Amino acid sequence: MMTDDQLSALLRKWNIQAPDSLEGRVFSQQSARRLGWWRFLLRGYIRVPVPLVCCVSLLMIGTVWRLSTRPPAPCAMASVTAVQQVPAAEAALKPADTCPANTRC
Amino acid sequence: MTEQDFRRAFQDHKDAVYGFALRMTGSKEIAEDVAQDCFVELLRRPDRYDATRGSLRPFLLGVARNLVFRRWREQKRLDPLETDMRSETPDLTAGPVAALIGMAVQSLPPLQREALLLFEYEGFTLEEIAKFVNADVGTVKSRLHRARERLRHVLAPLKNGSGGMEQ
Repeated sequence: MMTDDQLSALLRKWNIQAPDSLEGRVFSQQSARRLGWWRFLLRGYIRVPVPLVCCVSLLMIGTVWRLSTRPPAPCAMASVTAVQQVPAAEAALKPADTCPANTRC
Repeated sequence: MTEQDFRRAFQDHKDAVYGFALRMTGSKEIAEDVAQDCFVELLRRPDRYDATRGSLRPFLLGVARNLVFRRWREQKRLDPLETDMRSETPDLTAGPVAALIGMAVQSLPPLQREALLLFEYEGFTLEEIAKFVNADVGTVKSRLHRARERLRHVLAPLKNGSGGMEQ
């Protein structure tokens, strides 16, 4: 039976060294990081949670729907009441001094 | 952490981190991925390493351990951690000694293998291993004892001078 020391000595024969490719892989990541924001703006991506995507999508759909179904803004002419409408012939006959006081007509 | 500090840390610890990952997983590809992720993690979040809590090597090995276990969890290989995952005894009658030792170590259950690797290759004490794996010292001692017992049995042909030991 092997002693602990003999077993340790035997196990030490399994010597491992990191491959050279590891250095290239790690330092390529480092140089990529050094480019920082420019690289991120050009080639970056972000992870977005699905619930957030759903909320934003629903919000956008709701906004588009509201805008598309909103009644057109009332025309300025439509605000003139029937009382104010005067036949053109009558208006032409109306003397200039009949305007109410404090008005600009 | 400056670039020079990072380069020094990489040179000082790359063999240990890669070696730990390779001995744990038995796969060169996975070990290289794990070692890369480990150092990239240090690069991205150097503030996670607190020098007042210990040296850098245990920190890096801890990151490597988490990455290895995460991979196993994803592959659903983590169930039989304590029990013998590969109960069959590996054939150690041929091949280079290192490869045979590798096969023998790989035949250990993961938690026993982890305790053995940290003790034999990283020089951790029982207390350090217990802290590292978040277990009692007694548990670690038991895992180490069982790992050694199994290896004594499995590696006996190498000690007797038969098979790969002669190469």
